[in-house]
Amino acid sequence: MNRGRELDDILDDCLERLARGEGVAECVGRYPEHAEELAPLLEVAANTMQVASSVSYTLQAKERGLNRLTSALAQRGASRDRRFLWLAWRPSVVRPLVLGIVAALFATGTAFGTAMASSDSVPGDTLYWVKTKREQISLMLPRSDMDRAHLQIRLARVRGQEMSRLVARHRLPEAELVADRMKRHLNESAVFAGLITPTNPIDMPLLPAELQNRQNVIALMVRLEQDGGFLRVQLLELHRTMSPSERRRLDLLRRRSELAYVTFVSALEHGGSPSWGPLWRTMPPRSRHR
Amino acid sequence: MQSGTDAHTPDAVEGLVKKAQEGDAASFAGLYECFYGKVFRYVLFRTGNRVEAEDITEEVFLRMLESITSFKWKGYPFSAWLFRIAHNLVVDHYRKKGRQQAVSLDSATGVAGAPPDVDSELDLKMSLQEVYEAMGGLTKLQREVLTLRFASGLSVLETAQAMGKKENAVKALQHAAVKNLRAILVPRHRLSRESQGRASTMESLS
Repeated sequence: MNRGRELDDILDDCLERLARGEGVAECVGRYPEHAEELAPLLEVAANTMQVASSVSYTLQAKERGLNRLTSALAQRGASRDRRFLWLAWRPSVVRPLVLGIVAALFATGTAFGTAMASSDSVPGDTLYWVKTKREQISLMLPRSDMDRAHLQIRLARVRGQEMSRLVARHRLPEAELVADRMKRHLNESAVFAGLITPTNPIDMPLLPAELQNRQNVIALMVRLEQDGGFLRVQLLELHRTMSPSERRRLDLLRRRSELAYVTFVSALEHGGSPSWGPLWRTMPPRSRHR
Repeated sequence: MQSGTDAHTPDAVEGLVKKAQEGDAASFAGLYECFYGKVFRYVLFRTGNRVEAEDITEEVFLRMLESITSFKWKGYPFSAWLFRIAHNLVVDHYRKKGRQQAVSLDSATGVAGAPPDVDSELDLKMSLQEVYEAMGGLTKLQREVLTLRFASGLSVLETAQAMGKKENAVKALQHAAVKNLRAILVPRHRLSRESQGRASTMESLS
């Protein structure tokens, strides 16, 4: 131990003794080798301790503080004691567990709330990125091709709703961009449904096994007809609220959207017919398992 | 005016804290009784103003009430936790007031009730003022150590925990603080004695 550290300890020991009522001389006597250095310090310390500890408070102030504390305790008592204070005496294992569950529920609730709030957003809104991220995540989940086809149709419907909202806000240029995205979803759905096949029928049969199941085809068609019809009605209703120039633009937008749905339904309906052929052709063949 | 004994064993304090955590009103009152004087002296030495010290001390105990359930026995004493609250409130107080140093301890003594001995009260006031001013010449940490150790009577361990420092660091700060305090106080005492001497000489001459 170096000398400085030793003196720190000795001084501290002496201060503890002074606080317990021992005199300066007695303390110094315990450490004669440091007496010269200790004595003046202990004198100052003893004097300071005496002065500092003699600082008094008024009983009125103390009583006032106690009253405030008691009334605050009484106010909190009834509700807080019953609801939360039990956590204080729960076993140490249970408490973090409960708090963890509460935190998890809170986080889930917040995430769910944000997701819900973002569901009505349109491009340009603050929470729109949450909506698109959710969609991207949902696309990454493992599913069958037919499920993916359904999911893409659902996303096309979501784009259709965004289009309607944007049109209602007279933001037609943005609605046209969203219409393109809607068509891309329908296109993707067609890929997963097997309507878009490679040009070489030897590499790939014209219709995949899933699409040869008539039930699957009907399910897709019903969904597409419902969504296409709903979008058409919405855009027609908005037509009345538009200015003449906007109406022309909206009409074009509506017809193109309708065409995308109608073409897809027709392709499904006549998918087995050799006269219809594949809806779109891609080259080179695209993997359907992305 | 009371200086308070604040004599509670650590076990007694632990018992009070545990019961207070369960919402026992009497235990809150017990903790208040145990620590009021210590906290008040600490705050008074930090602010230098009796009225402000009383208000802040009240606030310290209200904070204690609010957050006592979050206090856990993890090897450090309850007093360290309580004085941490007091320290934070004093810091907040300064932040709000926008100043770093209180003015004086003029109102720190003899506020309520007639003092039993006017002369001794006057001496005490002068000494207190002197000590307070001298402590103003120390560094922040040194002042904090001496306030916690001498005014509030905390042990080195409690002081270390309240300041978030190691015991050895607190001992070193304490040593340096006492040394500096002496360096500030001794010349003043000398001057004061010399002036007193001159006054008595003048009196005898006249």
